[in-house]
Amino acid sequence: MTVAQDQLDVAFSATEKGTSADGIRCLLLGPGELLDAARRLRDELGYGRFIDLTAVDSPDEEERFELQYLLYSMDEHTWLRLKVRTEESVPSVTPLFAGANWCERELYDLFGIRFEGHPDLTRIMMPDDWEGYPLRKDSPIGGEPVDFTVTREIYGTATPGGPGEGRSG
Amino acid sequence: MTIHLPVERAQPIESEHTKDAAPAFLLGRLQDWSREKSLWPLTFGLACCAIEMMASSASKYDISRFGSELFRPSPRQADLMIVSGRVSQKMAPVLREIYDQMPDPKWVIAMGDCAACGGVFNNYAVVQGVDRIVPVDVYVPGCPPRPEALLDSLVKLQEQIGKGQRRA
Amino acid sequence: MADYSSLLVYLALTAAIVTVLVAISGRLAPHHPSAAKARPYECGVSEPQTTETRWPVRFALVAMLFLVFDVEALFFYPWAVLARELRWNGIVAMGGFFAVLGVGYLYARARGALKWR
Repeated sequence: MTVAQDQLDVAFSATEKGTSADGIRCLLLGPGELLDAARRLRDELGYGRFIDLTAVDSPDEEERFELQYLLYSMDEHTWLRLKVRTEESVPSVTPLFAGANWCERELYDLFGIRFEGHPDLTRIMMPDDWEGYPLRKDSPIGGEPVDFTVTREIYGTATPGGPGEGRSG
Repeated sequence: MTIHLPVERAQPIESEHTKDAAPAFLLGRLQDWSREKSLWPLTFGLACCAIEMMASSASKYDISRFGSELFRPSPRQADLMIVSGRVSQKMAPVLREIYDQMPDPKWVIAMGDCAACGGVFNNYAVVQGVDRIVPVDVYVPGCPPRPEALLDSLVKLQEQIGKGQRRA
Repeated sequence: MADYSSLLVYLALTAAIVTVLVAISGRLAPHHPSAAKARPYECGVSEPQTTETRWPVRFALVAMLFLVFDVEALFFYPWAVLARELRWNGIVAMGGFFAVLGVGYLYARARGALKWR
């Protein structure tokens, strides 16, 4: 454990911690704690570089979205992951990390997660007048029905409605 | 403008102009021959097929020996649009606008599986075949098609133009 | 006057060939005008987009100052060519011109008009 990680443990003694499958340490935060924690991480603990922001949709859970922030410390050469569970919205870290701007727009576009305090929360990938949030697990995949020979052999008919039909969620 | 596509298979768009009658005194033959031998493509490389299109225009496969001397970036100066790559919903109106801005006579080659039918991307984001948006003259299967396949399609198009079958 | 007849023949031939080619292709080309063809080419995004964006004021400042000092430099060239003939009168006049604009330059510098960031 390096000096910085000890400081992390001290500063966030009350926060649940973990390690994700790729070996990066995580802090599990609530939406209300996010801004404060991000500011402390950036200013006091040296995690000044914002790497990535993404989300996982688990529609069966109580709070369906788990946002995952990835920060990097240039001095210690370590990553840190912040995991925030939310149902709908979360404060925006764009005022702290400018690199989060488009990541948050992407999540708004594809998942429908609102980021309060974002300077320009509009769709970034889908056309501006698109309806729906495509990456949610209950959104249809779309496309067209395809009549493969192998599908006929297995199911007896062409795939109805496209490859997304018949999948759960 | 967004193109929301129905789930059932759509019919491809046919060419929108009636065929121009060939002028007399062998001028029609001259027109067909000169159009066939000097098809200048529009650079419409969208994705991976664009790499193969670039390869076909490089020295080993050399598309310019078939008359496509220059790929023009401006639609005003091109007569062949090679749609190489997947067309997303957001790109579809742009593609249609650029096709509309090409002067007649114009032809379209749908290069690759994504341009022909949506390819492996059977989903909400990709237009399932560019023939839903523009009338296509030749489809080139492949993911991506080899440069030789693209040249083959170009030759097929040229043969049809030379016979006067694609005068619009 | 040298003999320009061959040049005139050449020009006449050029004009004739160009006219014939343009006329032939104008006659034989298909005519299918459309609204899209009349629109300017904007990489496919022809819908009018708003240009009411905010620009940093430093662009305007640098442009104006450049204009003034460029014209000053422009005035230096004729004087430089005739400097010997104008002698001291010229030097005094240009010196006064330079001093007046130099005061302006120092003032602009002091006010930070040339700071880019």
